Amino acid sequence: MITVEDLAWRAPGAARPLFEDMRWTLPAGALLLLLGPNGSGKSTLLELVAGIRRPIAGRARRAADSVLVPQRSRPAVFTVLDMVVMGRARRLGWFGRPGRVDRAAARAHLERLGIARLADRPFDRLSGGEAQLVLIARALLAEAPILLLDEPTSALDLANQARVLAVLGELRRSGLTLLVATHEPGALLALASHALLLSGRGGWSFGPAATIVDEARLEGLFGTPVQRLGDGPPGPVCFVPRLVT
Amino acid sequence: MTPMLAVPFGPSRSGESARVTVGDPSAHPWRTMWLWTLLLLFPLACLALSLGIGRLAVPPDHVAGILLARWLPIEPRWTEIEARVVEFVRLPRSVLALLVGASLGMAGAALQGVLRNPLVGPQIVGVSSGAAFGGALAILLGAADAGVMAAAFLTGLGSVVVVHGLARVDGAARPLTLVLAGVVVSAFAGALTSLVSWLADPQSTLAAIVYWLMGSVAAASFDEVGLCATSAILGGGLLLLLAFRIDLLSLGDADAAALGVPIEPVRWAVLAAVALLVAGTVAVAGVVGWVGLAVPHLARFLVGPTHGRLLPASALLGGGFLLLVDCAARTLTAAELPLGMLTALVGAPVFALLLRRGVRAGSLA
Repeated sequence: MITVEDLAWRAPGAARPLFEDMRWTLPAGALLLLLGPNGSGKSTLLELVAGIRRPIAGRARRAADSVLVPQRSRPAVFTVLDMVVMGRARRLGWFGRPGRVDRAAARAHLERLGIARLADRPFDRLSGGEAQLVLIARALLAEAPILLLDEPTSALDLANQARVLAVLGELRRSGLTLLVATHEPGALLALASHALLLSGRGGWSFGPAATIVDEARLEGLFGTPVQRLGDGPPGPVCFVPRLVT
Repeated sequence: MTPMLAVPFGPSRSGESARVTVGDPSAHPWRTMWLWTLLLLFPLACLALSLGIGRLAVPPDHVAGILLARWLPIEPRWTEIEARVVEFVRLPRSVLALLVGASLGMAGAALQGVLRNPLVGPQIVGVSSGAAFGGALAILLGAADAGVMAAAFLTGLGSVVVVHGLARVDGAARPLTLVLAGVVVSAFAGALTSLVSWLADPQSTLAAIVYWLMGSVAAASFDEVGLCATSAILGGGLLLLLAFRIDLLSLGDADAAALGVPIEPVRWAVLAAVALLVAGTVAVAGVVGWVGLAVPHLARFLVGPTHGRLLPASALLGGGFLLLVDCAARTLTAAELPLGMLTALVGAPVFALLLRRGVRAGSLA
C-alpha cells in the first residue's frame, strides 16, 4: 500500500509547485498510471515515493520496499548479467558481493523476461527494448513488492513495447504493486487499476483508471484536442492528438 | 510473447565475441585462469629481475639462495657483498616500488569508478599534490615518516573533497570539469608546497623536501616498507570490500539511488581509502604521477569493468609496472633518474590518447 499525504513538490528556483496538497491511497497489488505533460513532475513523484527525494511538504509512505526502474541508464560497460546482479546491492549490504545464488537468481529473472540469451552481452550494446527489460530484471532481483517504472515503453518500437507490456501484465498478476509513468496511456490502460493525472500547474486528479482517463480529461491535461480510438478496455485503446486541418 | 522471441536482436554472435572481456568468468574459464596466473607472475617476475640487475649483477640462483638462506640451511656460494646488496638495498627498494605501484593502481581504479571518469587518477583529482603539500609541511616541521603520512593523508583527502565539491552539479561531475577542478586545486596545493620549500632551511630541510618531491624509492628502508604496506592493506582492503558498491556507483548516482543504495557514504569511504593509499605512497616515495591513471585502463582491458576483478588486477599490474620503471630508473644511466619523470613519460601519452578518444566520442564535456 502507498499513502500520499499533503504531498507537494516545487522544482528548485521555480515560482509555483508542480503539485501540492496531493492526497491518495493506492492498495497493494494495484497498477497506477501516472500521466501528465513533459515536466509535470511524473519522474519526481516516483522519486518521492521511492524516498530518493524529500518533498517540500507532506509525505509519501510505503508499506513495503520499493525499487525504481529509471527511464534510461547511463551507458555501462558491464555485461547484462553483472548489471542485473546489481539489483541485489541493498540486500547484500556494504561489503557484500554477489555469489553463485545471486547470479542464478539473476539468470532466472532474465529467463522469466525472455532475455536469458543476452546474459553475457555488454549492456551498452543492447537495443532500447532489451535495455529496458534488463533494467526491469535488475529491479525484480531486489525483490521489492513495489516497482516504480519511469516511462518503460517510451522510445521503443512496437515489438519491444509489446514485450515490456507483456512483462508488466505478468508482474501485475504476480501481485506486485506498480507505478508506471507514461506518455502512452492507451496500451497500458487495460492493465491499470488506477490513474493519477498531473497538470504540472499544481493540479492533480486521482481515481480508477477506467473512469479517469478519457478524452476530455486528457485534452485538459495536455491542452490539445485528443481523439480516442478503439472501444476498450478490455479491447485495445489508443489516444492520439486530433489534428486540426 | 513467444513469437517475438524468435526475432533476432542485434548483431550476430560472431560479430560481438570480440567485445567480450577476457576476464569474464562465465565465458572463458580456462583463459581466465591463465590470465590471473600471468597477472600474479608479472610482479613476481619483475621482483626477481629487480633483485638481480644493477651495477652489481647478481645471478638468479644467488638471489634465490640469499632470500631462502634465512629459512633454509643453504651453503652460501655468493659473496658477502651480493648478500648485502640484495637483502638490504634491493629488497626493501623493490618491495617498496611494488607497494607504491599497487597502491596507486588501486587508487586510480577506484577513483575512475566512483567518479565515473576515465581521465582521473590520484594526480588529476589533486590527491597527490595535496598530499605532497601536507608531506612537505610535515618534513619542514621535522616530522618522522608516520607524521609525513598522516599529514599527507589529511591534505590529500581535503584536496579530493574540494575538487569533487567544485566540479559537482546535482550529484554528478562532468569529466572535463573534474579535470579542471583538479588543475585548480593542484595549482593551489603546488603554490603552498613552493611556499613550504621557500620557508625551508637551505642547509637541511630544503634538500630533503626537493629530493622527496621528485619521487623516488632509492633510499628505501624496511620501516618505509612497513608504513606503505600498512596503508596499502588498510586502504586497499577497504576498497576490495567495497568493490561491489563501487560497481554500482560507477553506473551513476541515479541508478544506485533507484536500487535503494545510499551513495554519499560509500563515495566518501572510497575517497578516504584512496587518500590513505596515496598518502602512504607520497610519504615514502614522494609524488609518483600517472601510474594510477594509466594502469587501470590496461587492467580493465584485461579483466573487464567489475571492480572485484579490476582492483586486484590494477594492484598487480601497477606494482609490476612501477618496479620495472624503477629498474629502468637505476640502470639506464650512471646517475639515477627520477621515478616520477619516467612514469610521466609513459602516463602522459596515455592520458593524451584517452582525452583524444573521449573528445572524439563526445563523452567528456
